[in-house]
Order: sequence, then structure tokens, then C-alpha cells
Amino acid sequence: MHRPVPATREDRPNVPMKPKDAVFSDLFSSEYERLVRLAYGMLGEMPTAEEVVMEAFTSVFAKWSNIRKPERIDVYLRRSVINQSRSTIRRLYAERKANSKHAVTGEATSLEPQSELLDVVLRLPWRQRSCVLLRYYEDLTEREIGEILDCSIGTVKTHLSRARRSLEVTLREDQKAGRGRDFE
Amino acid sequence: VTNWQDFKNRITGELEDVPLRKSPADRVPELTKAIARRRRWKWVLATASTLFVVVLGTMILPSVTSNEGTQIAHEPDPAVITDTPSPSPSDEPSTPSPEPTPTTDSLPPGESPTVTIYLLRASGDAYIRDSYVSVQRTLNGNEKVASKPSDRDLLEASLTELLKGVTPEESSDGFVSAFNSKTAGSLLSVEVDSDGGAVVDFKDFTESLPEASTTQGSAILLTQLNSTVFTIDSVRSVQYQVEGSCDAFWSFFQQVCSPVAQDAWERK
Repeated sequence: MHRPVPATREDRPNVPMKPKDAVFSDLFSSEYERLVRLAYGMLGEMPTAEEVVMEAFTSVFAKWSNIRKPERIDVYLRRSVINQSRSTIRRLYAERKANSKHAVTGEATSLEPQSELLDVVLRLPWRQRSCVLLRYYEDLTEREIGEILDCSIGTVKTHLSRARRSLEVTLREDQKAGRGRDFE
Repeated sequence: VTNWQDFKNRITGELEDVPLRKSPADRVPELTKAIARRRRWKWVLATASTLFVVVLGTMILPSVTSNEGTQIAHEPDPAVITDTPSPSPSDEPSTPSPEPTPTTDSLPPGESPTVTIYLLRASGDAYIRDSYVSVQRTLNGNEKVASKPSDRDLLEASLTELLKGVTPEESSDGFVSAFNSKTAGSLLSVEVDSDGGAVVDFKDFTESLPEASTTQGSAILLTQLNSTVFTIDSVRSVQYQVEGSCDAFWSFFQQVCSPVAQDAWERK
């Protein structure tokens, strides 16, 4: 993946081909925080996001010998985080719905919205949310997003387009309602 | 139009404002333990799978091997049979006996298979049945009889022996035969169907048996043939042929083609 290194990640080292333990250590140190925040964007809950990322690292490192392209480990890690986030949302949502005395309505898309803009992002469907976060937080190209989500560039463009439209509508409505998310 | 660069900055800011509960450095031991636990489970699963396969193999392989061994036992090396005497179909001594040749599947070890043929006493009357006596011949190197003594194989072996004529010992014992060394190997094929109907096909041995076309000669030949054929219990009738032709066989004896039934033969 020929990723343009974003301004916010200039200090992030490339994944070197070192002995396994050294690679683990470097990779974990360099990617952990960023992946936790990506998972937080997917889930809206920091403790769960941290657990999801730990599980993703454990899963990838445990089957390190089966990974055909170690230099693409960042793609595997992000894919793992996205997929783990989705599984976790579904599992926790089902558990909380079962434990709640009150009926829970709506799609199992997020846990607890924590902040203003993230609140809006968390209302997006899972695929659109993944695309938005990978595009605007991870600063990845549509090709790279397609690689992580295992879909075509056209599909990524479609998801991004729909996500932008939904975000515009929601943000405009919020602005009219006086909630101050003025992005226009 | 939404300012997406502004959106990017804002969402990045919101995500990065939230503090982590633990730093990556604090998480490393936890990760190491988790990986070790995962690998241990993978090892346990792999070991269990391997053990399962090994146990399954040890349970299945012996039965497969024993099946193969059984099959090999039914297909012995002919050389072994020739060199090593095979079991005998009966406990009877090799003396003239009217008893039919047994057709058991397994012959007692150490005994050679025998077949019964009928010869004429030199002093006997060719037209009287009692003048014919049964003689047992010991087979050497007859793989089919040794390994699968079916009625067909026994009949084939009996006729093969009969067509050889008398041995010097039998001749010295006062036995004669319509057949001689020239007719040896004249048997083309023998078939026995499930109803006991036998079809015996010979080469054209008429030139080797000039005397067989006479009344006495044909009586001796047919009595020897029929008596020998009907020593096989399951054979109820027999059709003789010369090179596939029933007429060719019987025309030699100035008779018409017809199968010989055991019942009719024994009533004569």
C-alpha cells in the first residue's frame, strides 16, 4: 500500500523487517494509540476500543507466520480492528438489549456517543462509518480503504458519497436546531 | 457544501482528545501474555488433532492390513504351491475309490490335492460298469485346484489327468484307458454353470484315438469320461464338444449331439 503519510503521522515509523519480537514491539508502540482511536470512532467507547485493539494485535501476532506479506501488516491490523469493532458492537448491543428493562430500538451501530461530531458519525451505518473514519481520520485513499474493507474502489466511493450526504443533512439539521455544528 | 477539511480536523481532534486508559508501554506485558495464551491454545488444538489422527490411524490401519493379508492368502504365489505340497481335499488314501473328490475351500496343509479319474481294468468287460475303477491322481503344481478348488477347477483337473492316459504304475497295476499320451493336453475348456450343467470342450483328438470310433472303443471312452465327470457332486449334466461343436464330438461316435444327464447315466 503506497500510503501518503499524513501530517499528523509524520513521526510514525514504517514497519521494518526486523526480528519478530522487535517488529512486534515497534509495531505495537507505533500503531496502538492510533488504532485505539480508530476503534473509538467505530464504537464510541474507549475501554471497549482498547480491548478491541488488544484483541486485534493478539490475533495478528499469534498467526504472524501465516501472514504472507508482513510489510502490509498495517492493512491486516486495520481490517482486524474494523471487523472486531463490528462484532463487538453486535455482541454488546445484544447483551445490553437483553439486560435492559426498556426496549432498545434502532440498528446496532454504536454503543455510547461521547462527543458532538463523533455522535453524528456514530449514527452512520457500519460500512459508511468505516469509510469516513479511514478517509478523514486515517487519511487513506479510496484504494487503501477498499483494500482494508476488502471491497472495490467503486464501493468505497459509494459509501463515502452516501456518508457525506447523510452527514451534511444531519449537520444542517443540527445547525438549524441551534446545536452549533457549523461546517458550512 | 460541507467543509470536509474542517470536518477532518474536527473529527481527528475529537478522537484524539479522549485520553487512553493505559499507554502502549503498559499494555505490552498484557499483550505478550495474551499472545502466549493464544499460541498455547493453538498448540493444544494442533496436538489434540494430531493425536486424534494418530489414534484413528492405529484403529483403521490394522483392519486394512488384515484385509489385505486375507486377500493375499487367497492369491498365493504359484511357485510356493508347486514347491510346497498343498492340502489334500480328502483324507482318503490314493487308492481306487468311488468317493467323489471333495470341493472344500481349504485343503489340509502338507497334503497334495488329488482328483479322481476312471480307468478300465485290463481284464474287465468294457460294457460292464463294474469293470471301471476310480483312481486318484495327486496333482503337483496345479495352482487353481490348490487355491480355489471349485467344482469347475476340479473337473478341469480331473479331465486333464484322464486325457493323459494311464501312468506306467497304473499300467503295471493292470489298468488301461481309451486315452493315451497323445491326447494329453487336448482339453480346451471346462465350464460349469450354477445349475450343474457342464460344458467340456476338447481339441480334435480323433486322429490320436483311432480305436475310439469302434463300438468298444467309444464305450470305454464315454464311460471313462462320464464316470470321471460325475465324480464332481454338483455336475448334473455334461455337454461334450470338439472345438466348440457338439455335433463334431458325437459324430465321431456315430451319435447325435445331446447332453449326458447324471441321472440317466447312472441308470444305465
